Amino acid sequence: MKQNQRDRPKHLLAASVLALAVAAAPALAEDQRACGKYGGVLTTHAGEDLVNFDFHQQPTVRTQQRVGGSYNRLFRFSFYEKGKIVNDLAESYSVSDDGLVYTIKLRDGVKFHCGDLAEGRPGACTDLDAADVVWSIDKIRNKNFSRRAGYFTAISELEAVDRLTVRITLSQADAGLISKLAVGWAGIFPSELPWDRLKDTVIGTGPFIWKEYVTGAGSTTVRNPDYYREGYPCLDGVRNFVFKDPTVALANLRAEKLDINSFMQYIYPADAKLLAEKHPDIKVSLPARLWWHSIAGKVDEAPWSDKRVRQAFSLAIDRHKAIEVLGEGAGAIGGYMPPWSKWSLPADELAEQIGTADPAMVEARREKARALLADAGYAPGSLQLGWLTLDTPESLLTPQFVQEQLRLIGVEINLEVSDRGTFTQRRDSGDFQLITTSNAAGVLDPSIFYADYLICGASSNESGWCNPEFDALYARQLSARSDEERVPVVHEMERMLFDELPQVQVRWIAEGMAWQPWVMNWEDVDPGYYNNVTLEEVWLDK
Amino acid sequence: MPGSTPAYATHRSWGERLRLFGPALVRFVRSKPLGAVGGLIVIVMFLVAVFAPWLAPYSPEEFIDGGSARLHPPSWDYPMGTDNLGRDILSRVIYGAQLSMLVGLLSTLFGTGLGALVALFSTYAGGRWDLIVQRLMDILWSFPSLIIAVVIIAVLGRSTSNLVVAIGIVVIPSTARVVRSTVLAVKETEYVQAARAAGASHLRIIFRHVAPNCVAPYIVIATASLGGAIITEASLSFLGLGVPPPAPSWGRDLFGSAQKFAELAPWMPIMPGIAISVTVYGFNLFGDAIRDLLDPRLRGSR
Repeated sequence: MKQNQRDRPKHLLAASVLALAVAAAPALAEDQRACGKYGGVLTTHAGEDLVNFDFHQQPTVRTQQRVGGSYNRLFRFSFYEKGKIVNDLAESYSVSDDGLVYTIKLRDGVKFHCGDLAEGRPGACTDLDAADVVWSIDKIRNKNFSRRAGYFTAISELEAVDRLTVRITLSQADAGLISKLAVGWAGIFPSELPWDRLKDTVIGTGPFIWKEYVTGAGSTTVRNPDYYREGYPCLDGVRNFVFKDPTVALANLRAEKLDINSFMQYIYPADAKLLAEKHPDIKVSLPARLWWHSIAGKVDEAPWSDKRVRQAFSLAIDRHKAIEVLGEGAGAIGGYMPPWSKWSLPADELAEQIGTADPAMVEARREKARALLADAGYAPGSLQLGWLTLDTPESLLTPQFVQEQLRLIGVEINLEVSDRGTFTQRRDSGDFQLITTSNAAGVLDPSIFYADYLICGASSNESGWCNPEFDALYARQLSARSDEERVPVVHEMERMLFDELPQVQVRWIAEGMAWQPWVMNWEDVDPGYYNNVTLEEVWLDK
Repeated sequence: MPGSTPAYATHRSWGERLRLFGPALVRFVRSKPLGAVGGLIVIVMFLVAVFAPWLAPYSPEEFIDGGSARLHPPSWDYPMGTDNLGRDILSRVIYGAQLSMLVGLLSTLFGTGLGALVALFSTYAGGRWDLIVQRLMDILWSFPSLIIAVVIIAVLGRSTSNLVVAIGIVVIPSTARVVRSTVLAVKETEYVQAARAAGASHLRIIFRHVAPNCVAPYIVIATASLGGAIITEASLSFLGLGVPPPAPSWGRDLFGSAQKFAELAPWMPIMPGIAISVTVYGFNLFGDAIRDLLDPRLRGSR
């Protein structure tokens, strides 16, 4: 299933096109819907417990899904229009003629959370100012305190010009800067809160005040009566349960105990079919997401260091079959950028890289894979590798499928199934031969995809691959003045990735959301999984 | 004769034993028909486990037709249907018997063996040693068995050998307690005292005179534990703590996708569920019959 995300936010172009020479760009258009009713607690869930509350440091979006409602960003994605970005804490912004200086004017009178619940939290009840923004973005830029540091590598200087004005100076133009300031990770917190306290403290300006988190049970947030958007939020609060078992979550949805079945997970075609048959009133969406599964080894260790092995793996995997079997017919296959986007290589070129569903071609590719392995010195059965993977049922699907595919070319895979804690520890310490790279992006922008996963030193670059030529192209596309200029550069990067194969892409995953008919002002338009979790305009018609 | 085997123990040649086996079997079937059914189930399951490579129509890990044969309901081609990855469930159930039988047997042997040894030595020694060991057994017994097994697996990691250890440890206290009660009685018997008076070493007394008299309760507790061990293995696998996928395991095959597809493809959880139920039922029936035969208080009862 594909979705059309070709229309990049128009303001990005405006920001990057020199000719516009925007001196004081008008505020981005707001789009909002009124609360039909006030009150009620929305119930939803996430599949895992939180490690801590610092969403910058967690690779999993589940942290963001829980704490996201307590924060605002400078900009945010529209709740109703796919890809559109609107102002949040920023009242307006301007870009210098050369596209290197962004001046952002903040809203006045925005308060960090107040009241009994927030009392004692550093920064509680203070007014938002430019220093808070600088403090927050500086944390995201700092590799020691953030896994998202790659987002803001172009920033050379960040300063508070006055109480409500922030100036961002770039070393090179960054066409994706506003998108990156709008993703869920870019929440603003008070400068009184030390960076390392974000792990145990949740305080922002968002529509919901953090109440509590109980391990195994979930989180509770309550309405922020001082929210800067008058008349919002509509809800009294949000209750986010922990349902590790997707069938339990689905059963709760069917029993009307859940209003929204998670922000990202657990609705797959079989579930959608079941819901359509038995609960036709429940709304379901099932697009291919900005989420993909790939395999990575460490490029400085055998056998992954041998390009022929990586090529053999890529040739051996019948990705069309992966969509049929694992995706139950849904999802997409492609390269390192979503195949439904303009950033992806053209279809015919892509088919050369990942093959077609033609059985003859599938077998020919396998034959070639066997030859490559033989050439690399690996006789059938001699290459045995451990594959580190998470223990959730969904996480096990891709490794089991690939294990079977690789067996057909004589590679034996031993799955090393681990819980989240062990998995994270082993991944971060490089204690693996192969690993599932289950990655997601919040925005359909090459700079975000590559920044997180593929440039030298990227926080989630599990393979350790580092290619200065690739990084040079990355910088080039960042400073391009228009998407038309960026596309050929990104295609060149995609070709380089297919040639080098630091990670072998398997599939782009279609994953659904389901929500009750009484959940109003909610649409599944989030390009990521964690940008629209504030739920400030959502209300319950029951 | 001091130090010799008690008078009631008789020695028979293998030929003689075989000759007696037929009539004994008939007597067993007649007196304990349910136990015989249980025994038959146990034998069948062992045979299935041993001959799995010849009985299973497919490899248990094979994605039939690359996975395209997914979610087929039971049919002549796939008597138990296929799962969401296009694997033949019958083949997985057949191969799953290997794991269940292996883990069930080894963990029971390990746990009951260790429990019996502990009971033999501590009870024979008596006094403070017995007191300490029994309190340790009480502590071990005070925890729910599954919790202990989960903790052990969490510490040791997931593998077949660790499953054996985890499940085996759970069985230790119950075995120790049963064997202890027998040892307490036996160690006070005249022939044990006579052996002691004749200068037999403690080890000789334990293994020559005490242990043989504990065989009957040991067999009872071992057969009774087998079904429980299989259930524990299935439970651990169901919780994702058993052998890692794609190895076939009845418990694991009940977990994850089987739950997700339970309404659309009910054969996915039902088939391994039946395998677990039938096997445990068989072991329990057989264990009950053995207990009835070997326990003097129950001998002759139905």
